Amino acid sequence: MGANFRVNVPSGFSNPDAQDLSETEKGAARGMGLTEEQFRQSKIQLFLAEQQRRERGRDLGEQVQSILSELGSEHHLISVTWNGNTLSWTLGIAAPQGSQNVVVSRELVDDALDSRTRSELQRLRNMILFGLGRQELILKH
Amino acid sequence: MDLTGRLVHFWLSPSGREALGDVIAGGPDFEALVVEESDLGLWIWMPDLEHGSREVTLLKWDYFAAARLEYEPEVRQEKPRAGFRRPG
Repeated sequence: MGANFRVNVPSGFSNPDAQDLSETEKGAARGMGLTEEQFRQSKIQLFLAEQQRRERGRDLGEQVQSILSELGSEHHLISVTWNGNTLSWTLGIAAPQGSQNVVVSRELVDDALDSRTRSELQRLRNMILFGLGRQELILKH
Repeated sequence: MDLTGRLVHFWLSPSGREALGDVIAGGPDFEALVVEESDLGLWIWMPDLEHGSREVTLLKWDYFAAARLEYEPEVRQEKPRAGFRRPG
């Protein structure tokens, strides 16, 4: 199955270079009482966490594509976006009635992807079908 | 146990029957999809009542006396280990 969807995980840093700190970052480190090295290490850890979240978003997208394949070719996943302020994922889905946004919580996604058990993946499926207004398929399964 | 996304069979408590008796016709038990959990109770979608819509109902915690759902302990799927292998 082709993974032709976007994964959007906004970075917390405007400077994408983990090794060379900008003057603003050096100032921020001093302001927090950190050495530049401590700040750099902290930034590297955050970059790694962001990278892991992107991988989670990619994994989530592949699961969602599998769920959408039940609905036929008229539905397809456009994007998977991390919402840091609400700790949730927004799934941008193209549907016959137009583009739809389905929001699923981080807990639900983590439960499904960490366990990959049938019942946990079923919860993810139910919430996506409900978000798309295809409740009748929840009961048929 | 997180109930969001699960189909659950509920039995109303006496206070639930009093509050929702007119809403939920057909008896003191019904099946619903839990859409969201909150401090007040569960936001549920009832297939029998709201089949064609996405309207949800708040079922307060003290409005139900019992709930039943499919619980299926399953073997966790282990991801392949990363790292070095001992030479054979």
